[in-house]
Amino acid sequence: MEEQKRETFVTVAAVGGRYRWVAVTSLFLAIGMILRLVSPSIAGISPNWLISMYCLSILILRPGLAQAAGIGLVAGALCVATSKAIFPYANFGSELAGALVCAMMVKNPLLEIGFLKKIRPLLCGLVSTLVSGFTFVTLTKLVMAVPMPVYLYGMLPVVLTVGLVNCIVTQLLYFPAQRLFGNTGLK
Amino acid sequence: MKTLAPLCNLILTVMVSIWTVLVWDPVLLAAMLAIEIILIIYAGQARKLGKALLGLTLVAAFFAAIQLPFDVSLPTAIASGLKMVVMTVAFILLFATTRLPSLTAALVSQARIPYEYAFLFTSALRFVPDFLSESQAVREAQTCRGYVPSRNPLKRLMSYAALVEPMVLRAITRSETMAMSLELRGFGSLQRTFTQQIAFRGQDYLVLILLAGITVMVILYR
Repeated sequence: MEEQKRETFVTVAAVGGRYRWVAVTSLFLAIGMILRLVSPSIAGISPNWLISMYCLSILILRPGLAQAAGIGLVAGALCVATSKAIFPYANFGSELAGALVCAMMVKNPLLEIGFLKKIRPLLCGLVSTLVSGFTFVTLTKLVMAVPMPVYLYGMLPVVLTVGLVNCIVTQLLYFPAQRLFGNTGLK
Repeated sequence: MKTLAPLCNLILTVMVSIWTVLVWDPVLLAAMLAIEIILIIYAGQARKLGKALLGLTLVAAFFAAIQLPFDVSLPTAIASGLKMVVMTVAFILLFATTRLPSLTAALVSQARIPYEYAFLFTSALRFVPDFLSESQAVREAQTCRGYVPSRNPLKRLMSYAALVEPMVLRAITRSETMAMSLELRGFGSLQRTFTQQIAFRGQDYLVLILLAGITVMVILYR
């Protein structure tokens, strides 16, 4: 009797290899850019989708500080290229600071505990946007000699408002995105 | 500018921005803006400029106007509005005259920026039209299902959640294929060659000398 060999096919889910972070980040930054271009503003204030998107990317990928700095600088360059700000170059400093803060917060063990773990995207989105926003307006104030009252009563409230909008956006998008990305870091 | 090396164009853009920060004379800033506009029209990108310039002018006018109640003189307020427009139009000029692959090649081989980050920048810009048409398709699908955009800006902003989520989730799915194709094409290889012509020629060195001269003049004029 002829021996029948059973062939076993093993299927492995594609995970994308070493450069998935490049793919995810570039796609997220592209989404951030188009939303920045098309989303409406309320009394001149619109959420900075690019910050939400790089925060989301950092939250999912959990990069090191050097890699996060690179992501921040690229986000800054994209902001400069599409900016309608008074001093576009301030974006380099602000997005670098925002991305570094986000990367530090993502790996903070304090944010791994209980309820804080659930609202980590919200906290990361809020703090990163505030750090990025304050850096941006302060650099703009210093370089462009913006009057102090404009800085205090015109620019800082915008930073706070955008921070609030961004943290909600980051929190809403994180869990579905994380589930799809298939990272086991957070269940 | 189309015939200049990409890195030379980038340096030119940065230098224009430095002059803009240093100069506070509205007439000089207006002259710089006029030169930029002429160069963009000469590059055949006038249509692209028209739309952007309208939005920029509104933001600049708003920024100039909010300074006036705080003891800022009219010329200074106009100058700060103009600075913003000049700096942004310099970038429009850069992208109107420099091809993205050439800029990537210049950033990697001449400015020594790691390829991953130069690729991040150019690929994010490259995906913008794709996502723009995707967002248009999602909005059309919503309209077909009877969705009418509210006039209330807050409600309109909230409605963007329905647009963002499918785009983000689709991007994650797409990233798997993209990452694999990057790896298969040797993305991480150490030896990288570019087909783009990015080397500096005589005219590029001439422009650099001219830029240095103008920068010295701007500093002295200040």
